[in-house]
Amino acid sequence: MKTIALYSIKGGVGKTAAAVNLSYLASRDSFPTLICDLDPQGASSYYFRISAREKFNSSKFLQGSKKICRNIRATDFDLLDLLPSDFSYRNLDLELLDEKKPEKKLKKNIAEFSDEYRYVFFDCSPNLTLFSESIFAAADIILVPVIPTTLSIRTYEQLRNFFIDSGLDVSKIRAFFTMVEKRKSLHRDIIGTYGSMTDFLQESIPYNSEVEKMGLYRAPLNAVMPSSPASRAYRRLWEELRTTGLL
Amino acid sequence: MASSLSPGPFRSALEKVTGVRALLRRSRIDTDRAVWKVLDGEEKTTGILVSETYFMVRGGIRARIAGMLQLRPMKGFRDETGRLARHIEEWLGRESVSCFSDIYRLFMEAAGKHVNDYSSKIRLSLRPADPVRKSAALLLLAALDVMRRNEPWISRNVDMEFLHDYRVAIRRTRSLLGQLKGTFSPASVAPFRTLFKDAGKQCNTLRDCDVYLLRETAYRAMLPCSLSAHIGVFFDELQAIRAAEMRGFSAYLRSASFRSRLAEWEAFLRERTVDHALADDTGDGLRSTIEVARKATRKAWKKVISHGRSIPSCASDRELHALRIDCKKLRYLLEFFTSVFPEKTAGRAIRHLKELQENLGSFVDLAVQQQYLLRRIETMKNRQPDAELAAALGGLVAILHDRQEKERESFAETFRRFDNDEAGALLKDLLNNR
Repeated sequence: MKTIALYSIKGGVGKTAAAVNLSYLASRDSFPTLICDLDPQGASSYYFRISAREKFNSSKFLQGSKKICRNIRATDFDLLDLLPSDFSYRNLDLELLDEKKPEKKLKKNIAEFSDEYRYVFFDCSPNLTLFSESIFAAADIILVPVIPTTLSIRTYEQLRNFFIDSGLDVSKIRAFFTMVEKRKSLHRDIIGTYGSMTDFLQESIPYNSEVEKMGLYRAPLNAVMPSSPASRAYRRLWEELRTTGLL
Repeated sequence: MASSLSPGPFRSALEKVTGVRALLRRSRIDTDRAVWKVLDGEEKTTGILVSETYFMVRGGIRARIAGMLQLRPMKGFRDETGRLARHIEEWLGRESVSCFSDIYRLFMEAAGKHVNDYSSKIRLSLRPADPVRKSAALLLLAALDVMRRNEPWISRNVDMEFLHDYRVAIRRTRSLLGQLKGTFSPASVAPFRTLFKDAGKQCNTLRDCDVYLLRETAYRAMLPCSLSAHIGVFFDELQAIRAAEMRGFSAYLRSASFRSRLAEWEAFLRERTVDHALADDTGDGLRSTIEVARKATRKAWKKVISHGRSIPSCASDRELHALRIDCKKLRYLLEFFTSVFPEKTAGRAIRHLKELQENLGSFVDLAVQQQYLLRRIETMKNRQPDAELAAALGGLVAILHDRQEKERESFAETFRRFDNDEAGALLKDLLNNR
């Protein structure tokens, strides 16, 4: 089992779109896949038309896999299951404070799925909390979508510095450019500067209004419009990820 | 046969339940199938609803037999679909909700078959106080029924089990008549004993052919490739012998004399299923079933024990052959009278006997196979010699001999496990009043 966290300190960079489409592509390649919606806003749950049961909340989540298992729900796509988000996740970091080894907690919880799923995707919320550290410890890859803008690059560097300062494994981090508009010179320049760095993936996701329409279709873009430019880019990105040696 | 289907999960599942039995087409069922997605308010699929309607097709006409609605919840949506399932149950009425085995039963009934209405075993509920003459007649009628039900299928070459079950019923008949001597007047039963002895003999060669043909794969696997290629001749011959034997045996079964003797046997037994005393009743025949069952079982059990104990550790073929027959007799008695012994005691005794029977069964089986193959080698002296076939058969004999010796070696230990305190306790339980 390999775990991939879609993570960014900055919001609105396309984490959920990437998590939804990449997990869908993994399942299409016949790998049993789970997507964990760890964002209290529940966007990926929304995309799959799934809501959490009333009884599911963050303390259940921390109680471990038996409780988690009961809340995993099948999406409408073969081999792709989802652990829905719940609004009470916003307190996860507070509850983690009571744990003995908070950073290990998530890793321990999901280890129990290792027979069932080949890939587990985390759709994370845009902040840096105790729970984020738990995610960093549990994930095999921390996949960071970056818009080719100065601010976005800056927050990405903040994340890398946080890893270095905290003694975390910075080699797990991989970035890729999203919402790329080739006609903008700034985008071209930034990609030119950073694109060749080893922590950046080669493939990038172009700006595509179809991605925004996922909220209307409520399904992965790759399932609804597999030949749209963004879908094709997600497919190439997934293939590149699979050849990184990290998965 | 299930093994003739193309490989896959369906075939392996079917092979497990059918074993050496063939599949017969009893009817044709057409299925109309519709599949719906069950959506919630968010248009998320929460389950799959499958509706199937089954039709029996006869003479081009479809007649509806049954329908089935199946609701398969998606993972994590059991609660949501559970509500729908309850609505459907209310709507249809609970009794119309059924599982696939019910549907299968309906199919078979529509085709005039009742599921599970056949067993080669005789399972009768006897009354302990009944005269044993009546109980024996009922058991023998049940054995006759097994013969009658298998007989029409033997010559159709569907599978080899029809003949096998037929022969087991003959053996049971002969064993019962032999072990409960005096139950019927010897003069009236003697011609029937001859009849069944002869009927068994008539199909001995046929059964041998079946047994060796069933072993073809196993035999080929025992030999190195260089030899297994040459054994085909042996099986071709068996097929030819079998065909000739089958013609002979079918004619025997159809013969007017056999049919009338069997009808006489049935009439003889039916007359003896009454409770009141009959003109030719013997003193033994009027004794209670339980009394006779206990006496015969005790005798057969003691025989197994005393014979077994007298066999030295270097047991001879003859001794083990004889003990096997003793065990079989005991086994049949336990099966016949299961219903009059205290509950579960006969079953426990049969299970206790099983390992010993298996050991002796394999031993004798291996000995018989060697003799059969050696006889075949012997015939080559007179006919055209076939060196490769002789080598292959010789190879098999050597392997079978080796296995037989292993069974012989394990006999003493197996018998010791049988002849223990538990055996004593089991016999005591059997013979206790219930």
